[in-house]
Amino acid sequence: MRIHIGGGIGRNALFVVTIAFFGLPIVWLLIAPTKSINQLTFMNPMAFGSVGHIRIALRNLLSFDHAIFWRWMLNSVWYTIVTLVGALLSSVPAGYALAKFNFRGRSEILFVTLITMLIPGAALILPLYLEMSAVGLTDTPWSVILPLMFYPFGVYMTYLFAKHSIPDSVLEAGRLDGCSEFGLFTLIFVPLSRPTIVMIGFFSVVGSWNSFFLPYIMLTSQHLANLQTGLQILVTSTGAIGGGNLTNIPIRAPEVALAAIVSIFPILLVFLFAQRYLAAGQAAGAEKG
Amino acid sequence: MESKNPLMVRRRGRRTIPWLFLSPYLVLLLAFGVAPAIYGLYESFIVSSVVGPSSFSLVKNFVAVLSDYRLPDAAKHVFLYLLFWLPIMIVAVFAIALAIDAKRTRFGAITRFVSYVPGAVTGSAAALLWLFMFSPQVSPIGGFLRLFVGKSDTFLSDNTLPIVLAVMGISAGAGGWIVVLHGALTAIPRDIVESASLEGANAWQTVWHIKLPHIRGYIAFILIVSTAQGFQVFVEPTVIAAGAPAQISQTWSINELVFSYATLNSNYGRASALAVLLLLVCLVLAIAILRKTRLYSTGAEG
Amino acid sequence: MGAVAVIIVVCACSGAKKAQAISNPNAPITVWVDAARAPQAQAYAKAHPQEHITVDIVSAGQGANTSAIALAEKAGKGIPDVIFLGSPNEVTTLLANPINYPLALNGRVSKKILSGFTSGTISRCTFNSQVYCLGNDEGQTVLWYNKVLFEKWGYQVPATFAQFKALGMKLAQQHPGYNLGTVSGRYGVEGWFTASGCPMLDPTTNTTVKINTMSPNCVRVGDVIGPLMANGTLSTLDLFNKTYDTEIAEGKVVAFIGASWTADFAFKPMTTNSGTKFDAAGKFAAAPMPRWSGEKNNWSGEVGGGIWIVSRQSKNPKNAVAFAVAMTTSPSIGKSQSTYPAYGPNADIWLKAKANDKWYAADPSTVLRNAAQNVNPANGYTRYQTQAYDSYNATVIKNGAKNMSAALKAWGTQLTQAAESTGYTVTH
Repeated sequence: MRIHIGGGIGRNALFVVTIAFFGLPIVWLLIAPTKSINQLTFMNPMAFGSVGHIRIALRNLLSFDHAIFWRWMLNSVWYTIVTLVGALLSSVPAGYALAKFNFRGRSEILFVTLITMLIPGAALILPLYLEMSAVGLTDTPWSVILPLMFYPFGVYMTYLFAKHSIPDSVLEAGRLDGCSEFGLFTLIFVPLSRPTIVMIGFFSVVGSWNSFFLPYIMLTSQHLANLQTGLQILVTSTGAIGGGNLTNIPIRAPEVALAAIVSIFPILLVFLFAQRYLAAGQAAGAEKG
Repeated sequence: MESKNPLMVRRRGRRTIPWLFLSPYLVLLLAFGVAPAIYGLYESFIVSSVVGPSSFSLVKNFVAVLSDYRLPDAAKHVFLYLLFWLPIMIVAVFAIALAIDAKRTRFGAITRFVSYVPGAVTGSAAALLWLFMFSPQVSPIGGFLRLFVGKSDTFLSDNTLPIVLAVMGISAGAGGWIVVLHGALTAIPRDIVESASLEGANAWQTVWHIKLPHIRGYIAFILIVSTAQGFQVFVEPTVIAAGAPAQISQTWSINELVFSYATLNSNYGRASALAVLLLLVCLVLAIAILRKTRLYSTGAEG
Repeated sequence: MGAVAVIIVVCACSGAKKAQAISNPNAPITVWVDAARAPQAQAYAKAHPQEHITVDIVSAGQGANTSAIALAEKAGKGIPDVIFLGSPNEVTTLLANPINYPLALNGRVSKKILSGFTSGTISRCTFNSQVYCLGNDEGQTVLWYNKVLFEKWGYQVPATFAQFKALGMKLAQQHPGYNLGTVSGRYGVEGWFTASGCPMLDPTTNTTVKINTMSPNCVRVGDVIGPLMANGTLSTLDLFNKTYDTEIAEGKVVAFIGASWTADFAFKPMTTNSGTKFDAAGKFAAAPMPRWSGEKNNWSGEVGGGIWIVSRQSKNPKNAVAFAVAMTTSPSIGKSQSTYPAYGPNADIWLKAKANDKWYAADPSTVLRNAAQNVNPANGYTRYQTQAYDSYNATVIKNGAKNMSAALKAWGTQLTQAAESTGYTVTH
């Protein structure tokens, strides 16, 4: 017997409304680079411009500082990958341990983890910078990568998953079989928690990819900038959005829209790839073996 | 189910193993969570002066911040924002995630994907997107917007800003939580859900009595973090300010005021003081929500 | 006496801080520029390889450079030798404790060069008789007007503000829907209020300022813009707001008290080729700012303009200063600048190109040059400038059409609070 929420029609109607609400701005964004700035302002918002304009917008984007745009993309890619490795290697075991072991300090660590997620970032500018400066890492990629490896969200998600969906009995069975704790973790827990790991891995990728604040305070060399910070340099320097571009640099709304599309494209690809792994349901069968 | 075998309890209480699993994270937690937070707290007691040296005071920064003429308006704005954004987003997130979970179809997967996309647009890209979306002359929903304002007016005003920002906040934030919630829902053991329906529970009863209690921890987490995010709203008003500078104050929200102290005024003392106050509010709410959901026991409800 | 005491305290404190870095003629220098200044900086670095100049392109947002320098100063390293500041008022934050970044340029830049800059740009950069920055460009305000429309409708270009007000009244009756510009945000504050000499953004020192929005110089502005906001001939929208953009594109802007860059960047893009009905070519000319009765000068305001600052702790001040001087005075840069250069001889080069630009209905160079030399000294740099614009929008713009007097009073109160919270002693 199937379980419905409000019936199939209600559910599908909800889906349609949702797709319309979230999708409309994106459709506009996709169309934007096909128009010039004046066309964007004076043509029908959903009208398609011309493919030629996309080429112009791309050329304008790349005209800045010898196509440093690609360099920024490359930086984003490798900062994200390195951060991902560190974030997963640190947060998944931590979440597991917090859920499956009883030890002194457990709830304190959980609580502190939660608190650090609630601290307004602006208050951390100065201490983070001084820390990185003290070890000589400012204006190097590590000043961005290392802080992003600190991933309390990943710890919490792993903790919740382990607590809610991995019965202790599964691990007990493993222990009775003579498995070491490390073996339990890698051979039993990790495969079962793959959907959660994929999910937090995905969010780590997004967090690093979209990170703007940290690179903005840690990096001054534009060659080290990631995509978001680089775009911020371009847009604030030209006043392309909101200020009226008073410079000779041809960055305006269509170019920013194109940069936005290029920027979210990898994220969406990763999402589509991760979608396959995001559905769980394996834990239900684990105990019956 | 938790075994009561004393041998198991002793083995599970082994001291060193959990710390080994935790150590990489603990290093990062101390370096990038705890140490900066403590330094930030210390900084809130340092009063900087434009002439002469800085001085130490337990209260001066807090008094200065609480008597800033911009704070009451900022607090009012944040309150209005929360009022519109939080309930609507939470309800939407749960409704959509539950609907996607109820019957796993391609349509549902597409919905989950599309709902995520606007959240991936950040920074100046977001400034561009929302500037155009909310300017009646150029917006795809311009006709709708113009129902509310005159031809030579802008849509953004004191009255509409909380709603505009709430729409932006929902657009940007819902997708991520839908992914999280959907992940939590699919991890519920199938047999529990199916046995409930076999016993005659309808869809609503299944949701309310089986599914939601099972993911109580996730719900608490989503509520705590979202509420804190709402209080600390920063990105949405900054994005609007970038695109429409004269239509919104640069310190519309409390967190923007914190940021302004830190960057424009280089007054880290006040930035930290206001951040401490913000954090205290979020902490009180977090503790209240945690109490309600008993998040921390490693008990048998798992 | 008090002023002297303040000056002595400031000087003593600056002196008591870190001693001047020992200067090394071979030390490399690092410069921070925004994207628009990057090509010229990189060209200079390439032409002077022996100086080992590193050009970093940094974000130009409000507070971005200031906070980056504050952090570097606190950490004691990574401090750039020269920076370009797109929000020039932030020099006041950089100058104050605890940052204390700028180098005094008086002994290091020749008097001849300093006097070549338009006097306003130098005086704004002067604190305690020391010059701390070099002006990059200017946004002196003039009265832009649609010459074709004026002639068609038989309007006279207003020479006084009384005539401007009368024009606004007439326009609302005869041609509703057309407007005479916007008084939103900085366009109103700088183009109207400081141009009139309203005391609110003019510091006497880096820690004292006079604020009185009820003084005659402010009230007279309110008397003109209040009624015109009410009848719609003065807009309350930002110049680049999409709604206002549309009005420009429809040719609804008949006149505009705006900066020297307004015509090039707000009106020029309107061409029928690019899809607007209204083509701005050959229509706009510049007239001097209207005069307030009792004033001899046609005072203008200042909207925008960037500056260059050298670090007090630069290990190679000679090269650093030379770089800053080149960026502001070199003729090749002057020729390619998109906005009016602050350095006189470069401005002449720039104006010559404008004089030959057939887009203008008439040669604007004389008007622009005179306006640059007549910027009201009430225009200065303060640490609360952003707050000044925000509070202006929240009071005068929001309520000025209904009750200008109350709006001005409320604005004055908020200005005083803003000034005091950023370390100023306020006199009225």
